[in-house]
Amino acid sequence: MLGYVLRRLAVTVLLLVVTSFIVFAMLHVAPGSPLEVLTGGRRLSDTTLRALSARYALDKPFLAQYWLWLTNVVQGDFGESIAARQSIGSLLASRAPVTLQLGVLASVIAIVFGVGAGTVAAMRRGRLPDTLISGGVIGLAAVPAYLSGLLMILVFSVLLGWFPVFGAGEGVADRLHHLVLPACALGFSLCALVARVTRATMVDVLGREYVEAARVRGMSERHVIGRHAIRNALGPIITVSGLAAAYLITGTVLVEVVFGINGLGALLIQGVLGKDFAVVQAVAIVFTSIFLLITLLVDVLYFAVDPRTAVGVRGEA
Amino acid sequence: MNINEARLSRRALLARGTAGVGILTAGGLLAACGNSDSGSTLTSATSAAGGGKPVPLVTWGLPAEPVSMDPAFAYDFETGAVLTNVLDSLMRFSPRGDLLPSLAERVEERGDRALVFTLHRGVRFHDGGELTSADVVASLQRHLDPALGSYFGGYFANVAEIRANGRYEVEIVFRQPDYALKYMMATMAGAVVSKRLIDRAGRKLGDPTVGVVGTGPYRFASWASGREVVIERFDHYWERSVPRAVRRGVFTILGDTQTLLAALRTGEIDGSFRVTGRDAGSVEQFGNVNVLTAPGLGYEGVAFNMRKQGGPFADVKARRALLHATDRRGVLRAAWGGHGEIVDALVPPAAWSYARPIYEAAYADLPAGTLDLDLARRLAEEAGLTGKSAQLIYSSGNPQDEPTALGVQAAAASIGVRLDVRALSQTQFFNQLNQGATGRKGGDWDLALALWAPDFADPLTTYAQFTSSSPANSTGFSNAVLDREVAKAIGEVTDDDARARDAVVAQRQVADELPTWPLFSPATILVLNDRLGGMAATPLYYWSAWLGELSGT
Repeated sequence: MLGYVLRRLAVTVLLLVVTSFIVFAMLHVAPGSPLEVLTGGRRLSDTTLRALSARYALDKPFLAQYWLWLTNVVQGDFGESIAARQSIGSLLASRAPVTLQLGVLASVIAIVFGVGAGTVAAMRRGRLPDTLISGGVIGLAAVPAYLSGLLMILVFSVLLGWFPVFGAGEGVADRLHHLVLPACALGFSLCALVARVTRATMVDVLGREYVEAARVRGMSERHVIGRHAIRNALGPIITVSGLAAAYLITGTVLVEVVFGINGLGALLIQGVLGKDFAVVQAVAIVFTSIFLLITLLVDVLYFAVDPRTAVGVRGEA
Repeated sequence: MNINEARLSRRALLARGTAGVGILTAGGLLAACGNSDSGSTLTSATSAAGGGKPVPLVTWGLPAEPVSMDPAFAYDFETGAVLTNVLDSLMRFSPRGDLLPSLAERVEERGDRALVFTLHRGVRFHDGGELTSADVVASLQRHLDPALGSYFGGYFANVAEIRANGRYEVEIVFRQPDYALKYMMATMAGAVVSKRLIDRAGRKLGDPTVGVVGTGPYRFASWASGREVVIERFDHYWERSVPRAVRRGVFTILGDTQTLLAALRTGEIDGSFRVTGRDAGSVEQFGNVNVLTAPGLGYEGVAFNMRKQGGPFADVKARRALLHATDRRGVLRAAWGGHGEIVDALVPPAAWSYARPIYEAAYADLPAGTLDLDLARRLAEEAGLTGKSAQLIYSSGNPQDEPTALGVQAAAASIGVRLDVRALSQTQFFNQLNQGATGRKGGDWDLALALWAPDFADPLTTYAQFTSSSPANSTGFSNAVLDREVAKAIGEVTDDDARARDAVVAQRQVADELPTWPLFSPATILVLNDRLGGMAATPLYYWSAWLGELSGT
């Protein structure tokens, strides 16, 4: 088990390096230079341009720039944002919490509603609730989060006045109040995935002999579902929930912009628009790390829930 | 060094603030629920009456984050709109754009090569220190330092020395005469920061953790990166006549246009300078928000690539044909909600802040670009334009450019010319326009939509962009008369009328040769919650300490 985790960690680090290189290379190939964005189309004197290039190491060849960046990051220095003129470490630190909170809240919404809806649909398979739930979640999934976000602002903030239009709020209650709408916009988009997988797994499990046996022995339906069915269906549900969470935490980009939440997603957009290499790099690394970490966590959790998978793990290790 | 070397303009910056906005607008979502018939309202007031009531907090919407609290980088609308409330400059502009003294109680020209500013005494910085000539010299000299890379550096190109004559006098000595610097002393180029902070903070000056220390009516309080900048009333402000009814100003960064409009509607945002002319109509329908307008100083125009030899628009008749074929009034309605003016010169009358009679007489004499399809077709035929095709580029960062481009395309079609319209990202657009400013390839365009506003109310800066040596000359226009007159005018430091007489000759060359012609001059738009008043819409808001003018109604 430990060997497996260590090996997974090594792969994670390798993936991070590869990702960072790809991002760096793509930004380089894209038209325009950070200096052009920095100067906003104005022409600066050659002396000034040279000074700026040297300060941000833009005068060095591509690989040298990448190497410089990599060695700095290993030492914990993400560099300086060209556009914001400040250290990226502090930019990340000030923006990461709200993105994580938003992602976690959205995941909770996706998982609670998804698993709940999927379970109910499986129990009422083929009947009206099943049809309504299955159709409903697919409808929700069909609307992109930024559009449903705008619609939610329109209905719940502008017309009804229940929620604030933008921002992240201060303090626990206020923060929650601010994050409900964006988290719903985000979470509902993945509800369908979780619900579909839950429903399929539950339908499968509910048809198994041990469930029939439990029912025959006169156990209450609550007991049957809660103790026998769900536990056995948990594997696929954990997998899909983990993937959903990983996707949601790293997928806050558009929703952050719509709801005026200045987290990592908004920072990423600014970085891309400004060709702020170092910022895009840093956010990409953070998002990739989160994604890989969650998938790792899911694998470990899967093992804890279903020790049978340990055989495979041991076999691998 | 030529005066135009590296002279900056706001042209690029007009586009800049919306760069982060264009990606996510779900076209007119709010307009739909407000039942607005946008594009028909031209009746807006220019100022809302203030009731003088104290206001604890004003929340202002910014579409993008300020770049820095360092005035050397305050050359975009967002940074300027915040920082001018915190920093005083040596001079200031009246709402109409007239040049007035500010931290300098008077300014004196010694010949045409020296400017002497005499400072007010007893002016306090936010940290309690007294303003002296040492602070002014330290602040201005930063623009001369190439390692710092001040965005205003180009304006100091002709400055030989900045020195203190005693405790309250500062002298700027020029290598060669240059009229513009005096005006720029009313912008953030003339802003004064405490020398103690300059020495202590070094390159960290203006970043969110350090902020800035000036003498303005408000002091920097905090800057939560990506979220908001907060400023608070400074109780020992030297200029007693500024009302300062507002205690705190919070500048909230809202990248999405629709979100900003929704926040205006719910009252979570009190106002913004950056609502477009197209959205102004829907904002008026909100009921709780006033839309104030003022004539702008710049233009939205069609620029022609004169570098491209033998192109379809190489003949001036072709350029004029397109002008007479374009329904400019219709374009103004579609692109900027009708808020603006149809003008026959690139510089609208609102920018005549001096020598008005001279500019007025010259303007009346300019050829009118009236919509006249018969004339347009005749000219197109004579220029051999009919049946040709060309490429029009614009920046997708400017929301008004898409309808504008379609309007010009329709005009071209009516005289038998096919225009391929291409929207480019802002970076790509400027790269094309500037023919590869940083060594990249560019310049494969025939027509471009150009948005331009001068840094202060003055026609000359606009025409100076057309001199053959100007780096801002994207059209590649080259005209000996214009070059000569502009160079002469720039040296006319003390005689405004003489400068104006040179400038109108340059204006005439541009109006006759049409390297660029104006579609319209967009009005400045200010939206303000009706609980606030006392402030006028002004095109130079980004150089004026406006927050202190607001009060409760």
